[in-house]
Amino acid sequence: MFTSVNIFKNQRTGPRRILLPWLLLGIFMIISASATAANTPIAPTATYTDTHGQTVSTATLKGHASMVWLLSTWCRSCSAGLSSLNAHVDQLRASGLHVVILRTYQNGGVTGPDIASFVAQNAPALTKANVSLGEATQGLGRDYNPRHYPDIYYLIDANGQIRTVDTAPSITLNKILDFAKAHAGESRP
Amino acid sequence: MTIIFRALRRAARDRVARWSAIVAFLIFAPVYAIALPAALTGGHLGWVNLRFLSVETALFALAMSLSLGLTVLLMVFVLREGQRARGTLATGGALLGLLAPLLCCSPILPILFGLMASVWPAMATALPGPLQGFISRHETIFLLTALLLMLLALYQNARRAMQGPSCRVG
Repeated sequence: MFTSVNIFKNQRTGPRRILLPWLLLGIFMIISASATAANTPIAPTATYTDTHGQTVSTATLKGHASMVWLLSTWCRSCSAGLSSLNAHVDQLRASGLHVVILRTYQNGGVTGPDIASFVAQNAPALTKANVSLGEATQGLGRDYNPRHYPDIYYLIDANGQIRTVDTAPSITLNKILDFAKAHAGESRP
Repeated sequence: MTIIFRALRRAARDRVARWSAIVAFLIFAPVYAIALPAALTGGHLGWVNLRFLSVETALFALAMSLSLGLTVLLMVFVLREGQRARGTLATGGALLGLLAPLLCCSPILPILFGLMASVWPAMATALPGPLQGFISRHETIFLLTALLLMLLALYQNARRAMQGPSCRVG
């Protein structure tokens, strides 16, 4: 009698309690996978503050194939992404892709290094490419990063059309390089 | 510590428990080797993550899969002895070890915050950044806590295993 009660307890407390957290984890994965859908075909015009304190409009990107990358300087996928770009700086420079790297508005509410020192630390060679650094304004954050992702980038063609929205250049570098190659020479004065 | 070794030796004589442990280790080792570098891949999970495996994360992956494998060994043995196995701490540790690298830099938390804001408008001003930043900065502590929970689960089940059979199954 005593042992059968014990065995019954094992059955009751076993699979269901263990499976539920794994089920929740599965739901998280699905959310993650569906998180990078593009939502607008035309890149909105917004402003950012460059490292010299000047206000720059994204309208200046028109006529150039560009990558606009919003990152947070506490984010580890961002530092890994910078290292990946750094390793392919020659390809980026040869393609003429204009890379705009902006720290998210107020760094996502977290203190951290400024964009210039973060890039210098993780991608020292990147300055050889056609790179602009800056801080996103609240308006740019609202237009380009309404969900407050710590790491999101846009690939925008010379006509201002958004071709790709994705995260983590560390693993999506091929998309960036393919875009850069396909749109090389698209820039016009 | 001695009780764990004695329990493991005893449990390893059980063929079913031994094979369960081997299968669990073979499942958990690649899962952790892929999941732990996810902080560097924006939460993406795939074989490509192995490229981002550092010595530190490889050691964590090995330690976690080994302790989970050994916990499975003891749990299966304890169950076959007709006793009640303890799985809560092991599950908690296993999930914490997986979630910490997944949540820090991926879109998961921002999307969850957005969903919550649609249900509770008061959440609309809440930023996911501080929480993600906290997880990112303290990831090693989260992983150590996860490992500690797994080792506690191992100890709990070792004590059960040394209590002797209530009713031998099989």
